[in-house]
Amino acid sequence: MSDPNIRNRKIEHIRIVVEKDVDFPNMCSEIYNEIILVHRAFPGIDLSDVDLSTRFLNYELSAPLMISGMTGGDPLTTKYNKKLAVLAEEFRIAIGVGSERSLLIHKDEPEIIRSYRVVREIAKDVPVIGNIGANTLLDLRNEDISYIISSIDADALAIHLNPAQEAIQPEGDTRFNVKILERIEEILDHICVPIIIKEVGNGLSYEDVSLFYSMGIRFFDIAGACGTNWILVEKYRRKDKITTTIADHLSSWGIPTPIAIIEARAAAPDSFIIASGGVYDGLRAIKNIVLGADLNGVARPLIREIYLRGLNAGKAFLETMIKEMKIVSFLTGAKSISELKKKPLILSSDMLSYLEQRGIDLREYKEIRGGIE
Amino acid sequence: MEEYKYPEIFVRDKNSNKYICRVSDEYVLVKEPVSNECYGHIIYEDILKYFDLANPILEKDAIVVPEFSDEKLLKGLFVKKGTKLCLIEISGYEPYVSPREGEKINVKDKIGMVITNKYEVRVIRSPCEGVVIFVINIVWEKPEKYILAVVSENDVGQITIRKSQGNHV
Repeated sequence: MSDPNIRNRKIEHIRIVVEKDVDFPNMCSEIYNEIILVHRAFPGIDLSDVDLSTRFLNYELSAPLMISGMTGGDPLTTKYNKKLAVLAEEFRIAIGVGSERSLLIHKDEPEIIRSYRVVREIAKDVPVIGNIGANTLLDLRNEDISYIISSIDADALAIHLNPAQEAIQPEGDTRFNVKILERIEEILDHICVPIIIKEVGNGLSYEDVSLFYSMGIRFFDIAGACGTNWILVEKYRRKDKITTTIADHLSSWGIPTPIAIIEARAAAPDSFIIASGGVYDGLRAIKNIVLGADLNGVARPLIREIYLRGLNAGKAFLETMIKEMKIVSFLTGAKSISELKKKPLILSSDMLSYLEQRGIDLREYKEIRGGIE
Repeated sequence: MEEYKYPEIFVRDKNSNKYICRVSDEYVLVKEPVSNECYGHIIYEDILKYFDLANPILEKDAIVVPEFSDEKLLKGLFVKKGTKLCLIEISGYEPYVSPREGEKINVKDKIGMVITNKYEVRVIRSPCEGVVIFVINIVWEKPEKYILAVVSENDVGQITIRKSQGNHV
């Protein structure tokens, strides 16, 4: 399980994500612009009637938002996780931590444990999500899995699938074979919290979601290809020409967030779907809900605000986002998430063509996009 | 680079281009038969020809080398003619098998999975107990399938095979 570079990597990742342009090209602006929610000149409600609160993992959230797992694993990351946890607690939204593999490698180092644990210590009243890479599961014992859950009192464990990132990462571990499915089956039998299957920014497909759904998993974070592209993040950590060239060629690889939401909802009609990947404003967040997501995950814009401008800038970002979500909801005439999910949705001809080619029936999809009530 | 290892099967009295022969109390790997008890190498999947499928038994003595390699000493599993086989079929759009030759399994152990054409996972559990002796991948049939042959632990002999110095394979 040794990985001497893991702590440096955690710091490098934050620096690159904040300082470099590592987003997908134009961040799916075209796709999002072509998803139309119908404006209601007479919404039939007051703006003050809009209540976007929702339940997630037995907690009441003020808005369908979570701060996606980003970091932890080096003492220098503690301050970021601390600030993110302050925001999660203050705004009553869910929060995840970055991959906890470092926690297992440095079990005897209190400062490393604290870099993750600080999240639960501050965010006491919201769901906290643990995190581990699927490719590392074959090396871990059930006790290790229990440890990463209990060390932060996690309410769920996110298992992330990041083959694109690992393929470009200098220390990349590209073991993503079917033995992982067997391992996840064993883990499901062993742990008492739900598993969330998540991508990290290249999107979950119908096929991926269907596989894990058939194993009994009901939580998916589709992390689509509209936000941070980890292929590009790793590119900045490579020196060799061959891999950096490949990374450039793959700069738009993946399933865009809106499409991944539809694929996931079609594959797992009664599941809880988290939309992340380029959710940088309230309008996108509401479009994701109407498309079939239950919650939105935000990462890069928040860490960027905190890193460059401090905690108050992070607060301002979330305030803006939640207010925008409420206004957009108001303008569609929906005063709650369940009403939003029933609002009309207009998709572009390109998206309709995509769905047809993927064998996803539009009528069936529109019936199930509401997901769980 | 790690040495490539792969399973091989040898069947009693079968003509071939390499053999495992018993000489005194020793098994040696040779190019030509050197004793009255020799086992000829066969194409792995051809072991099916030596199964009585109606009453699943092995019809010839056989030796399985789970990890054939360039090592001078190889480990082998010896199974006698008439040994009762528990045959397990795993078939589907994308079948996967976990245990390899020589692994012990129990009833209800997870032994593989099938990914269906709807991308659903079906976990396959063992209906029998014993040692997996053959893992036969039938790729020429659709859907693709694996047949696992499991025998009682008491029916498997562990042998060591030495590569002959003078009769190189």
